[in-house]
Amino acid sequence: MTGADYTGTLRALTRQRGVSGALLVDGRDGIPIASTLDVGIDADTVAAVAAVLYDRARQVARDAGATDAGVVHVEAARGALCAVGAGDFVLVAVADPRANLALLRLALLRAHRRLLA
Amino acid sequence: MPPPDAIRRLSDVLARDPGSPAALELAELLAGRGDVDAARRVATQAAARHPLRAEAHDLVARLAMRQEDWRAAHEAWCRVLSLAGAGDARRAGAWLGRAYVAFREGRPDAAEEALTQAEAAGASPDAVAAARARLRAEGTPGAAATALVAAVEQAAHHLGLGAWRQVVVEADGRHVAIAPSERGVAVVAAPAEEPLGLTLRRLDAAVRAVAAGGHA
Repeated sequence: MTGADYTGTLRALTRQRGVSGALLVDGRDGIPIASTLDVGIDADTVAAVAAVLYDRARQVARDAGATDAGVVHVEAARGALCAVGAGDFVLVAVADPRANLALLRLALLRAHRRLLA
Repeated sequence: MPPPDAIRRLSDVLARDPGSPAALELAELLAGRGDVDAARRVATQAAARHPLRAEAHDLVARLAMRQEDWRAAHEAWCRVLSLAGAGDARRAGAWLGRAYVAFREGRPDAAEEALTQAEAAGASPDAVAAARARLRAEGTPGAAATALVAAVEQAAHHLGLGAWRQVVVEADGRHVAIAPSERGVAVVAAPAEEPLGLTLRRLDAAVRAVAAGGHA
């Protein structure tokens, strides 16, 4: 998959209502690989915190008896963050409170399948 | 494996007399052949018909534990403790059960306190040591959950998301849902077959229970 393909996959995610951006992160070092974040959202920051968060979620999943984490979603007062691992990558979407988290989750899984295809 | 005719005979007894004490024996036999869903239904009905019988709640708790329904197990263990008198060996078993539930819900301090209570209730030192060893062998979900919560708070701060309400980790075979509560966090782990909406309802209930101080 090329950089343009990555961006196309991320843009499909940001068409969801309330999604302010999506990015693909190298889960090992928290460095962004591709991003469609809105102006004003720092991709480096999102990538770093999302990679740490996903790593911790993986540990929780393993401690609960699973082999790995799938979708991880954080709901907060002023928005949400969803992430899913794709090999060494982590696909991340950031949303505001208008987003429908169930639809965002499905869109994230669709994007995840495209990335792995 | 229990003989099928024993199950059939007890089922007949129960059909004729739904209040029969044979219900608990039937539930034990059903559980013994691996039919935990049916066993739990029978035991729960028996506990509802005989709410003052500690052994019925004891069986409900053990079956809920097998199904990893920690909330139901905790409630049933609490009933055992309220019904079983001093010297009743079920008290020690109930505290051991509550210790495991607390551990699985990410409350290691409450687990340790329950183990102490188990010792005071007459659990053998070997049983308590075995329980501690089991908890150590299964890791420390509380520690992992704490680390995840720290990461969530960091993400919420840096991304301007405001106060976090919940984090859900979907995994192969398990969901883990965590929410802030007045006394730390509430953690609910559920089999992946359980609909996520139900897991989140149980998480809400856990948060309310912790806020009400009703959980050891």
